[in-house]
Amino acid sequence: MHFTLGELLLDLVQNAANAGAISVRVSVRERNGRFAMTVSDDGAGMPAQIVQRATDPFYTDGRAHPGREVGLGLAFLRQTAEATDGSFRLQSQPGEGTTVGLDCPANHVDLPPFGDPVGSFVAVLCTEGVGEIEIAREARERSYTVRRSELNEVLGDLSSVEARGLLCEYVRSQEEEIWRR
Amino acid sequence: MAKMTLDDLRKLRDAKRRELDMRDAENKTIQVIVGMGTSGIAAGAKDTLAAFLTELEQHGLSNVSLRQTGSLGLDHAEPTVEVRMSDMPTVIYGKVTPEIAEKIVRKHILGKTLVNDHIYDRPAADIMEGTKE
Repeated sequence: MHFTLGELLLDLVQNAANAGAISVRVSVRERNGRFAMTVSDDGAGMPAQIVQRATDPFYTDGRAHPGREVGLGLAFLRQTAEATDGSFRLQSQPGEGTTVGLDCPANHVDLPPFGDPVGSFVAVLCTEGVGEIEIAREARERSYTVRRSELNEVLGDLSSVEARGLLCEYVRSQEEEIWRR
Repeated sequence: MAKMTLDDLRKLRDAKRRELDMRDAENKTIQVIVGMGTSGIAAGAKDTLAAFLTELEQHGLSNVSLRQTGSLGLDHAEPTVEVRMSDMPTVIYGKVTPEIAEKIVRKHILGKTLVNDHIYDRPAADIMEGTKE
């Protein structure tokens, strides 16, 4: 089990990359006492019979790790939804992509902390193998959106330590604005 | 810190680039690749990645490529990190806590000495072949 929701988010975005997504949209919102996190991709998608099995921890399509017989990312998300009286969403169409999401009470005692949002969002934006990644963030009725294409335009290759350091500063400034009194 | 715009970010990048242009470009060939699959994340790979970023920045190694990938295939030894650089063998380090990340930067990247206690390697080719069935 992941300690934080940020780690869970990273796992879901890695799933999207493994599914061959070209574009991934992430949404992390806290509104009206609810916490909602969604990851949508335009990757390979799954047929209905696979969707039914995808949250079974003892099932995997084996693409990411040939020979491995467990897949835990979606199972963790569903488990979190169940533990927090929340809802879990998994919609997928072969050839069109997949959307996974969690919606639950923001103050539920069993909801893990988000952890380090700056580190998590930077890691999401630096996920390899995906073209565009967009993160839409909202809390305290404030919001921001960051897109990898715009950041690439300014910073170039995000894998350089220089670019990654600047990216951390940029995302931190966005996040601090949300929590500013 | 005031909320930055993309223009602010561009100006900051230009300032950093001017500073970097004065440094040796030797480090451009160094790659540090952190495994960020489910097991890596659960074992703390995000903290490991952050520790590498901090340590590389502290030593002014701004042109090292710090990348993240899915599982490197060594779940029992997560967090795992592959280091590729000239004059040194390509090495996969396992059980890389933030403290070990600092050690890898100081010993392996700067000192060109292996961090022996944490060296792992990919599973042998015949084992990998067997898993494809």
